[in-house]
Amino acid sequence: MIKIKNLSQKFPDGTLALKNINHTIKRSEFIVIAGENGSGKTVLVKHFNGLLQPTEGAVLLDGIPVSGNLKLVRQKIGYVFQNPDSQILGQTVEDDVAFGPRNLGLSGSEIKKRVNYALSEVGLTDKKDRIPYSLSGGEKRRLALAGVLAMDSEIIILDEPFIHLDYKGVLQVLSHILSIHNKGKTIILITHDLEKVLAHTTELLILNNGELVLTGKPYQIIDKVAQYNIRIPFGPGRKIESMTWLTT
Amino acid sequence: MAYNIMLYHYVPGNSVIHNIHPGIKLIIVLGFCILLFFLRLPALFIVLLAETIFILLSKTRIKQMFCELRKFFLFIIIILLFRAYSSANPVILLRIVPVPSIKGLFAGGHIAIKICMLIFFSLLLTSTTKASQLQDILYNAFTKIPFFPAARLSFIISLTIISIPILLDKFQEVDETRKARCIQSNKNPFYHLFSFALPFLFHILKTADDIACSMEARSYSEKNILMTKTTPLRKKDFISAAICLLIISAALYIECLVPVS
Repeated sequence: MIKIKNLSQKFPDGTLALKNINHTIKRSEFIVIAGENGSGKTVLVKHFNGLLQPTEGAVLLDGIPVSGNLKLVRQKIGYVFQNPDSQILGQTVEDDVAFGPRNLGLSGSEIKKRVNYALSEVGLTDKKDRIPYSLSGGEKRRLALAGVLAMDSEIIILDEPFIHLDYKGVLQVLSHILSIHNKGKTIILITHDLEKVLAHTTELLILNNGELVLTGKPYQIIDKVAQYNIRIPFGPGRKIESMTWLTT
Repeated sequence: MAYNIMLYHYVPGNSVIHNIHPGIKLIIVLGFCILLFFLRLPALFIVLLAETIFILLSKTRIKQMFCELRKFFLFIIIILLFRAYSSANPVILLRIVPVPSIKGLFAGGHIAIKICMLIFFSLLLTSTTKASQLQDILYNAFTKIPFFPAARLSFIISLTIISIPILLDKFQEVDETRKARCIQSNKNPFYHLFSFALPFLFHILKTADDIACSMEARSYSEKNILMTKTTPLRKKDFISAAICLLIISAALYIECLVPVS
């Protein structure tokens, strides 16, 4: 469980990126965080992984402050960044997925086991000897996802996972995210494209100018999102269940 | 785009060269590179022949390897000309144009060949050895040196190799962006330099920051790193080392036979 307590973030130039955010994220949830550009979405999730230190307040993982035990936190909370190219830290697909488990100090056989599991989960087993740069955009996203899965993270943060992807790529990434969620992992997903994923969401968080302005079940708040410059998928009156790109 | 850049890129494969123990491979390559510094022509041909055989055995993309040499072309030409003009008195044509003598050109060409061979040796090593394997080997070697930051240095070297395609990709991106906005029409060399250097530097810093964040998110820490045990030396590694030692000895022997000019 992630508990956000009075979280505020002020940057050195004086910008208040997050303003007194309070929220609790329960296990096995599928959270979508939306908001216009510069609303503080990425800054917020970076706090979950301990990549930023709060100016005020704290983020607690199972009651322990995130900043207090970064190794444990980063094992439990995996982070898939926006740009998959800057996450490539290996010269082959297999090598890249092994980066995290190696850092956890696991044995060679355990690393291999985890890498094989993660690659099979995202459907990249047959590409394990390929150069990561040779993969398509969707495959690179899945590789980044595999890198997190290999660390056996319970909570997975995905920052704009559908950006720059074609229709096929979105479907592939989305189906793998759902498959991982169905296995009990908590998913925290940042996106502007609510229509691609909202049907699978258990909670929607809306950020505006660093403030958490709306939270709730998608059907409870979807009609209010337009006032925060978020487009209601396919116009008002549309059922939440239909807001997905997956047809089956 | 980074995929098209083969320079210092690992090429997955199962060739004889790929299968040589990374430590042995590193020592062999270092040995040949050092040898290049003082070998002269007849002996140099032996190393050149050996290198050609190694490249063929590695089954890497040879044609692309030669194409990648273009990136060093200007550097090699400058060295060649500098050497050609400085090693022997140039001939002055029509009392105006200085032209390097045959001896000077020979000396310049000699150096250029050596540089090309050096580049190919390093490409051979990096295209057949994973950066993670090199990291393990270097870490194991560095830990034997007291007070040496083995984990940090071995990781820096491996990360540098991994980052080369990204940097070259950014280089190309910035260059193409400038061309798309008609940089050619401006003749000021300083403007050219600044219009390239500043965005490129910004891109590098941004990429470095992204990579650092990504490493941190995946629990990277020097304290956490437990290097995987390197594969033990096998019979074929000793045979490879022995063959290379023979080639080096033969080259040295021929070098000794050549009188000092």
